[in-house]
Amino acid sequence: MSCPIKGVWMCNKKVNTMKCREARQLFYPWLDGEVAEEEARRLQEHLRECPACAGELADWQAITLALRGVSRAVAPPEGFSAQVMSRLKESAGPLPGAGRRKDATRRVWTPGSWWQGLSGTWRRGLAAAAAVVILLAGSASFAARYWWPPAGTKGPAMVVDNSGQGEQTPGSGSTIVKTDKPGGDVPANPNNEPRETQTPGERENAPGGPRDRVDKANNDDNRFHEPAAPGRAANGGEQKGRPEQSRQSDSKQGVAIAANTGQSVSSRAGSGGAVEPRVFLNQTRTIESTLLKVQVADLQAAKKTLLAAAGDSSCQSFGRQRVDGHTVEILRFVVPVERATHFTATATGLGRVLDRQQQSQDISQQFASTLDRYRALIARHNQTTDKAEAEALERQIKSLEQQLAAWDREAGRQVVVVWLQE
Amino acid sequence: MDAVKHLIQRSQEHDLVAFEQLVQLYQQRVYSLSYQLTGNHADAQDLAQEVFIRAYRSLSSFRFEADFGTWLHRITVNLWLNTKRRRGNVTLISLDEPIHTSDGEVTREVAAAAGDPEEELEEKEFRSLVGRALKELPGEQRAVLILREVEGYSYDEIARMLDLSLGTVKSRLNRARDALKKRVSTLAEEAGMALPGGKSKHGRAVVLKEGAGASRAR
Repeated sequence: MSCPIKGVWMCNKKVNTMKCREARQLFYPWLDGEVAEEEARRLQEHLRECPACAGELADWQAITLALRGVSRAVAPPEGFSAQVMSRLKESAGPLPGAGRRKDATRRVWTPGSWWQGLSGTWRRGLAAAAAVVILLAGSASFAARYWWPPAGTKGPAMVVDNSGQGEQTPGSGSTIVKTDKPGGDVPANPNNEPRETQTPGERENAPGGPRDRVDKANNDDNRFHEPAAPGRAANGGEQKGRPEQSRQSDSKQGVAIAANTGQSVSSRAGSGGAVEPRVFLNQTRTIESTLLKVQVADLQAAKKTLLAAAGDSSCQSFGRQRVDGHTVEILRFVVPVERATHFTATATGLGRVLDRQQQSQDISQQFASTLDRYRALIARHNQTTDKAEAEALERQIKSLEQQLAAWDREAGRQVVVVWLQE
Repeated sequence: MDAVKHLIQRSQEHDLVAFEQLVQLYQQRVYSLSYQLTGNHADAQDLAQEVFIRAYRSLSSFRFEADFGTWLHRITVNLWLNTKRRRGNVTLISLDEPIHTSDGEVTREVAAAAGDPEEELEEKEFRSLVGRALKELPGEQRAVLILREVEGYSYDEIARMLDLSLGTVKSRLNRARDALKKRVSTLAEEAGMALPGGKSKHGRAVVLKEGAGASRAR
């Protein structure tokens, strides 16, 4: 906090005015409006004499102004309070704890352990690409709906892309999701309202820690009443159980079901018609993922090779970006198990392998409980006569179905995330 | 204020209709802070919702000593810090944010109506640069800066909100400012942008307004 050397000499000649060091110590108080009149006068005198300090303070004023420019109030998305209320009513009712009973079925697949096992760079890069979300959410369009703002949004945007496609990244070609497999397409949301929060990034873990004084009394369980938000549940450890090699036998089935993913709940236009639950088999589901970080000489060529090797497997690109001074592109492939070895070998052959991580997630339990919940919600939806409730339920149902479909599609397959670095 | 007090009391008795009105009254403030902290709408929405849900559950502990909005902000900032801490300070950057390309920055911001377009652009660029620098600061520094500079809370209020001593708040704020300035300078240099202070050396007058940082409405 002391005066930078370069500024000091300029003003030492003046005996009766303030010195730079003293002046600069007054900068923050000045910005806070906490400088006494006499001091302020001397400071101003000094600034007239000392361009270095004047410049420094001018910088500061600009930064402060810019910060306040940020404060242009940001409006919450439409329907915000309604969502809060439906979450409240849905979760626990007026009495904290009332929701406990349900919580057993509300455990959601958590990426916790998976995520924590990653090295810092991976995390940074993945985070930068928002790939984490997509990795964990399981499908690009799923993530796109929650993470892409609608094209051409003015002002505060909702984070819902109602088209269900990721292609509308505003203003830049650098982050385009290409989903060769439109299996996860989401039909337009007729209500044009944001879904119940599905932001996977926000809480890998249970909210409520030592500093969270306001919430001391609350139990953890109630917080995770949000369905199918990947990365929501607290207990990463609980689900760590290493999966058996069951996926091999399951993979065929998984693929067969995946073909089913085109349909969805929402052919009704929020009209309150009965919802038919989609059929999912209750079976073991495991998602295998490999993260590969490869340094290559020619990014474009490497990408081409990869795409060729992937064939018609699903591929998403997260665009190029700079991470730690390198040009990086992250690609996510979902390949059939029988092709996985070959594909991974191709990827590792592209250049120097900097990092490699393997992960298995047995999501069977999460799948089953999500499925229970999905069915329960449909039952409730078909009983209710309240239109608003029906619509709210429909949104939840839809997002659950989305999640289920994504899991179903990827269970028994190999997810390979390749980080290409030039 | 009485009306708010009444709403709070009714909400404390689990009157959801009253609470909904409170949400509507305060959603703007909570959402704004959530957005400043998280830097994107997806997380902001999530955070803000969680704030109200927790607020509802903790309403019985609200004793009308603080402003209700400040109380909500207190929940907001602590919730955010906790989440961030637990996540190992990894910032998830959503695609909701301005996207940086080699051609400069593409923001979703809609240009303000009036003014010199060139100057405005410069100002906008600078603002987004500061915003970027802010996001790169550690969570705790970012929180105090936002509470102080964006939300305009006093040192005292910030100390109470974060359960810190006044001295800690001041020193953290100063550290945050130092860090921000440094980061802004670096980013500006990278972008080939001159800081306003740089210009003043070439004869441009620096106009100081008394207590420039002091007064602001919130």
